[in-house]
Amino acid sequence: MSRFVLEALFIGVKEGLLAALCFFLARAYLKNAELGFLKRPILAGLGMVFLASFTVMTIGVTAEARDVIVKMTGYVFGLFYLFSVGALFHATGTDLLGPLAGVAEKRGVLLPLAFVLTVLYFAPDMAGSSLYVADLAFMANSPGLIFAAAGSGFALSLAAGYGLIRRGKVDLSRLFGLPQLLLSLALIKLLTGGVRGFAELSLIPAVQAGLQKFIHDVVHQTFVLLMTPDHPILSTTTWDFVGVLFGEAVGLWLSLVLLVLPLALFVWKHFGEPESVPASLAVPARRRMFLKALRDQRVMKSIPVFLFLLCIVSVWFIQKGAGASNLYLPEAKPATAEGGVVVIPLQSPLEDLRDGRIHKFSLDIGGESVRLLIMKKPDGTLSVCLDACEICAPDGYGQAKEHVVCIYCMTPIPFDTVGKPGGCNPIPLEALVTDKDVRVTVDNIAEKWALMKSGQSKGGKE
Amino acid sequence: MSRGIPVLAFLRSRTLTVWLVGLFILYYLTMAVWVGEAFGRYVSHLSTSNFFRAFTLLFFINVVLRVIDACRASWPAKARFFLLLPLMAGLVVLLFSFFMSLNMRKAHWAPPLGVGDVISVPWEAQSYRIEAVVPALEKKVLRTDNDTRIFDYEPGLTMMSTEGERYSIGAFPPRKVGSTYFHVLMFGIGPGIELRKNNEIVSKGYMALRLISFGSVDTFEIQPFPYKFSLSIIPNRILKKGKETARDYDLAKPKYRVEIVKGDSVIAEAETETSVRFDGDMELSFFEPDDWVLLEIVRDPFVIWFVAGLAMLAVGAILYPCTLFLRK
Repeated sequence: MSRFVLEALFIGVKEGLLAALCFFLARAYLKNAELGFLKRPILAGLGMVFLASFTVMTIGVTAEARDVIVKMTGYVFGLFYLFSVGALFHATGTDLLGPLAGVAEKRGVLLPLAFVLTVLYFAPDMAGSSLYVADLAFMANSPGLIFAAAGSGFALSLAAGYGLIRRGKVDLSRLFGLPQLLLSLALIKLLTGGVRGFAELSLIPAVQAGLQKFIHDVVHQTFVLLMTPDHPILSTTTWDFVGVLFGEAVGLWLSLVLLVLPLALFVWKHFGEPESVPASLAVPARRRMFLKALRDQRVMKSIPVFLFLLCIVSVWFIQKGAGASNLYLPEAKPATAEGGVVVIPLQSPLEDLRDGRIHKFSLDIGGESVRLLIMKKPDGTLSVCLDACEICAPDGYGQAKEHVVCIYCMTPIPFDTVGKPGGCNPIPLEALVTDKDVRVTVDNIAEKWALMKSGQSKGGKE
Repeated sequence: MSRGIPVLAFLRSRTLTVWLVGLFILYYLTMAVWVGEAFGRYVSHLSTSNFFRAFTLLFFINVVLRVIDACRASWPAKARFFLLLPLMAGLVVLLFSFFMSLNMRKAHWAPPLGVGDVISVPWEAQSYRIEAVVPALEKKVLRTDNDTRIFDYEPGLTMMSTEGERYSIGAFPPRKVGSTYFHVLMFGIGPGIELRKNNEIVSKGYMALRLISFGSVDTFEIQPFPYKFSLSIIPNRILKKGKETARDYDLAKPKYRVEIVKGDSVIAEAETETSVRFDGDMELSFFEPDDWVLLEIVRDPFVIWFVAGLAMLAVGAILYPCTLFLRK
């Protein structure tokens, strides 16, 4: 079985299992809350999502729409996490709804809300995965097999999940109030919300990046207010102190704290609430039974929260940019064009294009940032390419030991084939390499970039 | 008055805190995912948009009222009260000073300055003359492949007021002169440039260019001539020993890589320490460069409060866990 077929099967199984698991959890909550009438809008939402994903797979979408879909997966995680934290605070005595509480319980509100939330939750993942399966079908020799693998994986896992739910006698209704359900859904999305098959299983790297950016911005703004200048001109001792705050370790720890702090506050408040026994329970034995039931309920309701905390803390430091962290990812240096030609010196004080590493440069063409990739191959020749391939989203390349790697699909490209057109190779450019510099015309770069975006350069044709 | 009490109760409620924090998170999440630079935008809005100011003030009032309530609740247990006080007070001071600083700060970025230049502070009837520039680089610089340094020292300058008082200004911390803070933002090298036509000097002076880090290319034009000059500093010598390569720079007499463009065509390229001829009768010559600095001049009466708030918050964060061991 080819790697593409295996990946398509994996994606189908993953999405099917997720759909079954989420429905199972929602069902447990609906049963506990006596809201069984919401099953229909949830199923309707799932059906709508499935149809939309199938449509997306067949008609194809623009690069901008792809970008929207990918962004939505992370955005929806953030929304559900925020809703769950709000619901947790509401459940522990902070009345967030006030006069709206009555409105929120009406069927006329709950039915469309359940439908919308279902679509919102599932649509980005399924659409994103569908698009990735379509990409796999494009790269594979037998597209029909890819679609069949994905479809059958989805159907079988969904059926198996449903069968297990029906046969199994596990009653999770005691665990799930609304906050616990929302938190569980957020956790599932965080751990499995990636839409790039094997290359991106979870959203943890994206969430880490987002939280670290926030911390970086807060620290940066603090230093701006304190009138601290650009770090290269600070003395080493001062910068070492400042630099720690911008470092990866501090960022990872603080981002973890940001994520778990609301949940830790909930646990603290939840178990710290006074245990008030109704005055009508005068018999000591009944009072003891009441207290035990109350404490058991508190423990049950906090299990999903502890599970979330445990999962997050376990994977946070393992998953940090797991896919791309082992790659060499240089920053693109700005290049300018003079007289319609981009001239990049072979050697400058900080780098030498002939050192065997990939070097990236960015160029502004028509308001768009276009990246170039230059690398000396093992045979001694200099390869000048776009930092993008003909097939994938233009996320660029990283460098491993013996390959360059497409960051989007994590396909390894042997060094020897860099500069040759086709497949997932970086798109070659017509460059003049002198003994001092590399020269590429802006027209050539713009032409190849436009072809890449339009998809017309697929198949290795220039 | 009877209406005021429910309003006050709402203003000091945890409900309001959770809603305001939740709305901020929603705003940040939405902007970060769909627009970018969410926190930067929020900071910018805080000093320009009344809506954001009102939101932040509402949050500040809520925090102040809840801090007062927390302090009142802990007052009977004095030890607990004094352990909580730095954190509570620090939070209030930090939020207040952050907001006020963003809205009241006046900043001025002087153009590149060298010896002899005069700075005028816009909000004061005071000006200062630059007496000396402390360079950030040694005159003879040696860089190896492993050397990631850009500068050798922190740059600075000495300036003199109209009353004859001298002040030394560095990069950090900023120096307060009167009610104004001064500090150096950036250092650079300004090549000495002489343009000749038919051996007659038509332009001479220093050009404040961004040529640091070495190899960076900057461009300039000299009006009314139709040329665009691109300049970068390259090593005067390259020394190789085995696999190691070192680059030797002499900043008293730098070597430049020059490219001259007229229209869309490159009409001259050279690597030179002295001069380059181009376009028939034109000549571009170089003499010893000068140092320049970028100075940031800030008037902000609340920055000291901001520092105090940070310090109190740091102390409070250390003391807070101790309250957990105290009985309420």
